Amino acid sequence: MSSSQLLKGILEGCLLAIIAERETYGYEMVEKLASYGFTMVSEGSIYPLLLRMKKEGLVTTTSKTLPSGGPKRKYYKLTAEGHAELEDFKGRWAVISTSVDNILKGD
Amino acid sequence: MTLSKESQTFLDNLRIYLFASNKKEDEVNELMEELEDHLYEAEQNGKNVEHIIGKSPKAYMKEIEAEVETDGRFWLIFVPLILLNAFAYLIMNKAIADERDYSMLALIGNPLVFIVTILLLFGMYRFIAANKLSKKVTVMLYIVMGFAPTAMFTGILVADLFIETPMLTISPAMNIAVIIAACIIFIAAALYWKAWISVIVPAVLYIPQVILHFININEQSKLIIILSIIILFSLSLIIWQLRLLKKDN
Repeated sequence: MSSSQLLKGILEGCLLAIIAERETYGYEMVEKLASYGFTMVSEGSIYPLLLRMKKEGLVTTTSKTLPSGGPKRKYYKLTAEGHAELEDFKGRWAVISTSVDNILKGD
Repeated sequence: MTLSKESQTFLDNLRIYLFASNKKEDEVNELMEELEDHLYEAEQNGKNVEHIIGKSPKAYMKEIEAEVETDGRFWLIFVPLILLNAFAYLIMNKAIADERDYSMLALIGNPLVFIVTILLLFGMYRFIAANKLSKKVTVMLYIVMGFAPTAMFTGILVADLFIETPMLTISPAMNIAVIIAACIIFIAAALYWKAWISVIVPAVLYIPQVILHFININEQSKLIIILSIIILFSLSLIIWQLRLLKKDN
């Protein structure tokens, strides 16, 4: 597994968590990620991931026309499966982060 | 709302790249709209396109390509239909003249060249869209690709003269079946593309030939009649198209 693949798995988990908070769209997700310091990936790499998550049934989308006009904006919402996957990710992440922390601390 | 030139170029290239990879059109459109929205908002916040897609546009295009679904209709419907259509044109000329010999080389070679041409063309579009090439190289590629199909088709014609391959000779009854099949293909194509032109063109080309086949006049006058019909038809087609253009404006 290359480092970018590992990062993508983590990115997917983070996106699930962000969308779980409330219905949101791509640029807002990126800003949220950046505000938490998650800037290791280029912004555009969330879109192939979101596409896959939609196909896997983790999220649904609705297009909304902005009050200011212009093109439609795509909003993402978590499905029941998405919520389940998020819980799964939290469990996996807890195991990984504790074990990595322990190793690095040399316990 | 306007995007910077770099962003617009990237979006255009991505669209070409995905088109030449036979990706589903509605899925591509949805994604493009989303990216455009993102780029616009990012630029208003002072970010450039590299910030969004990373250092390599090519790598990003490949990432997207992997997730967008391929449109199976292209190789299952579009290519066979165009292939059959082209074949119907080639065959009609011979069938009407009652030439019933077909060489294996032409029968296999022509469709093969056609498919190779599509693959090369799409390969070229993907290459040009994903790589930052100089104008010179791009123009060169277009020129080479412009000549390649003609060269290959001519190659088959020439090879057919010098290389003996088994001949397929069909019976007169089969010949009529071939003509009927070609007519059905023309009509099917017209229905599928919803354009009468794919019936009108063969009709203008072949109906006079069929009629003249039964009239006893010398070859030269036949040729003149056929040519004048084709020229007249082409001219009226051009005038018609120009009128449509004017109306649009």
